Amino acid sequence: MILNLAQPFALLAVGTLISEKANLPMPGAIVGMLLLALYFGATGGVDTGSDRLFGKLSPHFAFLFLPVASSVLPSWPLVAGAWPLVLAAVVFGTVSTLIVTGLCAQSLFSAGNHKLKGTAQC
Amino acid sequence: MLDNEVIVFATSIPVTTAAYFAARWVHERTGHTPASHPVPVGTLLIVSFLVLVGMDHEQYRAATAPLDVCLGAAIVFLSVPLVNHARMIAQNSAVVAIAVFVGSTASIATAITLPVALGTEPEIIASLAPKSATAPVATDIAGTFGGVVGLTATVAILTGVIGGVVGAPLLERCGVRDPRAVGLALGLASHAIGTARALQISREAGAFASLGMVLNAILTVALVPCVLWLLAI
Repeated sequence: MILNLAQPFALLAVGTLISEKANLPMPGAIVGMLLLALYFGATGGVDTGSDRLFGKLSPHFAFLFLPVASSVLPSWPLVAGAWPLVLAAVVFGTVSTLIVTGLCAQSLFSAGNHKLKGTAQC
Repeated sequence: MLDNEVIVFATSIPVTTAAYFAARWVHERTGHTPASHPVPVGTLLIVSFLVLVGMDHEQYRAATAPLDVCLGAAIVFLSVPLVNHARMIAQNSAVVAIAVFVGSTASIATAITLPVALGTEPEIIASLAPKSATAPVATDIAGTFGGVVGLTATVAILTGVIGGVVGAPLLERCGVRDPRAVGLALGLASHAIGTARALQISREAGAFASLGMVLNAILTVALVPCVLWLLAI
């Protein structure tokens, strides 16, 4: 359990080191995520301990976003001057992106499913 | 004004934990309505606490730095659903590639449409363009192209919160019910907060959300400079 918990922290450190030394435009966490995926892939998949730990921790990931989200407070003066425009752009942008991506992915997935069914019938 | 460092360090993480459990309680009591999602409610509770007791936000962030490390590790751990669904992702790689390209382009285009149409300052446009990418990537791009880094960080967080709150019900209303499509849209549009929301739906949605978040971060790095160059910013 402790080893399973240590894995993401260790790969976060390695990812951050690689990201900084290689001057990558990706944050260390993303590099670490790809490294852990490669490790799991090389060792035949996710081990039971990591899988169980992920299942226990993932419902509480929202907790870790609270300090970051509170950073809206000191940035408020920056937004305050142009808040109607910024808020409109963020809401419009996020809602449009969700709809466009969701509908595009769903139609492509269902087209793929139909194709697979067609192939199976043939 | 609460500026005693020992008190700030001793109370910040317990206050954050209490705010989270209070927010979860509210979310459960209100029948899991999107508006009562733990992230916006918990954030509101923390911001209210900081303002009420006069605690300096910078000191609060320094005291909660261990949670930022845990957040980084949590993002690394998102490779678990990604690997568990690797076969399904590989089978749908063409669909994922097209949907992510369309979604990333839409996220940049729709973020800057209003500001460009209204002739807003280039700094604001450069700050808004990368908003759907995860915050460290978004702030890095904005900083490189003359955006206001603090504004980008705020906008990226707001994007995550909005997507986390309205994303799932909005997609449901639009008829998007395939967990793969729901996950991809949530991760792409609202990075890690959207991915955490997708994981509450299903592991499958979480896997596609992780993928959407990572691929969108990579594409945003490539696309935003092109868009800003086209706009001569």
